[in-house]
Amino acid sequence: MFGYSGKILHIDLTERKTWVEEKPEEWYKLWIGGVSMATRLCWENIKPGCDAYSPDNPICFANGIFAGTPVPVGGKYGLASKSPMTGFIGDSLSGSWFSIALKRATWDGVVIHGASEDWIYVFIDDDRVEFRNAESLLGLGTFKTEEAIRDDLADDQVRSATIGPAGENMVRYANVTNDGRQAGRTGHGSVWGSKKLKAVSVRGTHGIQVADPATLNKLSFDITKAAQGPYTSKYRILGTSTNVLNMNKLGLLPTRNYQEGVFEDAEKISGEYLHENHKVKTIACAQCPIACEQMSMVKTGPWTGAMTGIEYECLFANSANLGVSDMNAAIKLIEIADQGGMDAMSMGISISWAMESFEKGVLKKEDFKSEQHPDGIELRFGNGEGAVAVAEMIRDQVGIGKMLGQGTKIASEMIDKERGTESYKWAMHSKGLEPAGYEARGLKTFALGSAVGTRGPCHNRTAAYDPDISGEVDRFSVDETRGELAKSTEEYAAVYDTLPLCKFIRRCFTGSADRAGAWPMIVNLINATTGWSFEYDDIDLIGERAHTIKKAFNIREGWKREDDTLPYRWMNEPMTKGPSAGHFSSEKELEYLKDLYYKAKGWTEDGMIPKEKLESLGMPDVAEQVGV
Amino acid sequence: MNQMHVTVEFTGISRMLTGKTEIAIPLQQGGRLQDVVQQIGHRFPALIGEVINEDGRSMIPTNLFSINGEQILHEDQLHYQPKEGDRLIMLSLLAGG
Repeated sequence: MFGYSGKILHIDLTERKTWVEEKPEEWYKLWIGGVSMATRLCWENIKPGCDAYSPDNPICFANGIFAGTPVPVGGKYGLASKSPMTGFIGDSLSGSWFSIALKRATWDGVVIHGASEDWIYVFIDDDRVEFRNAESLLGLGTFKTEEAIRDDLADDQVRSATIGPAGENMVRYANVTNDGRQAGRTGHGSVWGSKKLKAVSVRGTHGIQVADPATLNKLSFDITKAAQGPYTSKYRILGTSTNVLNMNKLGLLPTRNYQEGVFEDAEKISGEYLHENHKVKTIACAQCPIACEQMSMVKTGPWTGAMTGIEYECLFANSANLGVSDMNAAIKLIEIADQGGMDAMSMGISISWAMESFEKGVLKKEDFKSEQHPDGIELRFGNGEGAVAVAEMIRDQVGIGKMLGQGTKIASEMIDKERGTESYKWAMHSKGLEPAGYEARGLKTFALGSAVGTRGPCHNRTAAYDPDISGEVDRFSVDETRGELAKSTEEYAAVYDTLPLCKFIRRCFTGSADRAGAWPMIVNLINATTGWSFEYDDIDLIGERAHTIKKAFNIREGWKREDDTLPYRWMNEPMTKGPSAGHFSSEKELEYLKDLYYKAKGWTEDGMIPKEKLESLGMPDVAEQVGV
Repeated sequence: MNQMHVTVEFTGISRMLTGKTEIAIPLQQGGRLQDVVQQIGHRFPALIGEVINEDGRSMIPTNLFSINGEQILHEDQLHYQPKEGDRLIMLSLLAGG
């Protein structure tokens, strides 16, 4: 087999044993890699219905088909477990050197079972596995943990995926971090923490064989050259933070806990401002010619020296959405999240929920007491210093940080039960996951894509904002096309997440990012890597199958139609300012859109998947368990 | 013919290449967005090849115009006729983060 080893490594933390599972080539043709293969491994290895923090919830890595090859932006892997945020599939992606090391160690996937009694890290040294004591690593941040493991193994080529203090303390939205990149959103870090697994480290020394090296090199060269042109200049020069001003001008920048879509100080927290005043350098993932990560530093004031990579999603959640116009505070907050190993979006939105709760009198100053703040904190919108203090309390799980570290769903449920309040009305989540920084009340197709998202409302798992923002449809109204658009855009995204390829490359194949522009090149890349004979339609099937296995996983875990919903605020409160003022997504409108979407997917009115549909996608075993 | 004025706002790459946050553009009544593109390409040649195509009249598809933050027009809709006082916002396509 070319491009793959045909082997999945299983590691049991409870028994401290390992075994190898060989998979046939036909299995790889179905599941490919990334989030699709990781979810499939989760489907095969989880005990259905288990608690996310149970030893029965496995950690499933699935490498990318192009990891370690010349294919640009193909150095990525998928990570899946049952999410403690949602109770459904938690599928994430991360990139860079870790995936290449895993490929060179000849593992297409790794499944970690059980739980350890003592803190350990797992060292995969080609085909040898060591369980190593991690006591000395406890308390270290994510980046420092990687460095400490290299020192421990006396090898600077070892690559590690790690958790930080937030994962150790089981902050529900803790991340897994490797090479400065995060597998985020769905709480993998806390699953690792529940297993007392501080890191997975890999040393890979083997070569990677592809079917047609000459063709793959030529294709890769052409894509790399295009990736240096205008299609990626936004990412290369300013990074994704340039979205701040774009969003604000469209009335879509979540502001003060999603109360509005316009922030009066957007210029001060913009990508343009960041570039002028804080940028230190740009950083690329391994195997990437774009280099989008804007490493940025605080240069004055109490947080001088704080430094991390700034992306739009982290930035909106820790600036406009907190009412904070001080970029120094935003950088410091994101540094706390990145080094502590927390999802910066969920952290920021949990703090914005607390700010609104304070301003509405649900939370009091004394609720924010800690050793460092014996009198508490007046956590109003705009209080950057207070937000930093609360972020540290979340990371360290002290005081109110224990509640806010559960995310907005659980935090609001806890406080409403205790105080008889209605803070759920401003708890921004769906399925338990905090949403992206795209104000869905002004993006009606994206609102549907967010509601039906298998891991919760996510800008990466659906591209349904694209028809709204590109002017293809009226973003303020709905019509019968939206179900098909939501289906089409989520399956489009699933193709990239399965290979995986970073979506920022999507225009660099032919100049057009649509299926007709991208699929022929992706066919060529797959065939040159594997020697297969994939055709255009097979790429569509990759996306549909990837999305379907995630939905099937959720159904087996108890998903119901009513789980496809939006935050209360988005369904009941119109914004009052800016170009998107007056708009919201009513429950009636959402139910209409869901009907369209389920129909477009070929599912039942209840959102269940017919057996024939699953069988036609090559999933007879899935059909047996969840098909109707 | 009567002349009117519209405002072009720059963000992101277009702001970096022009060094401006916004400019006022004179436009004949009935003029089209394509004429605006041509004017700003002529005034800021650095935009050519990065935001505006080499023909000087059409947009590279990763860039859009928003009219007053509401209507969004892509590269195939440059026949739009702006109105007096319109704010034409040059945006990069949004994605990721």
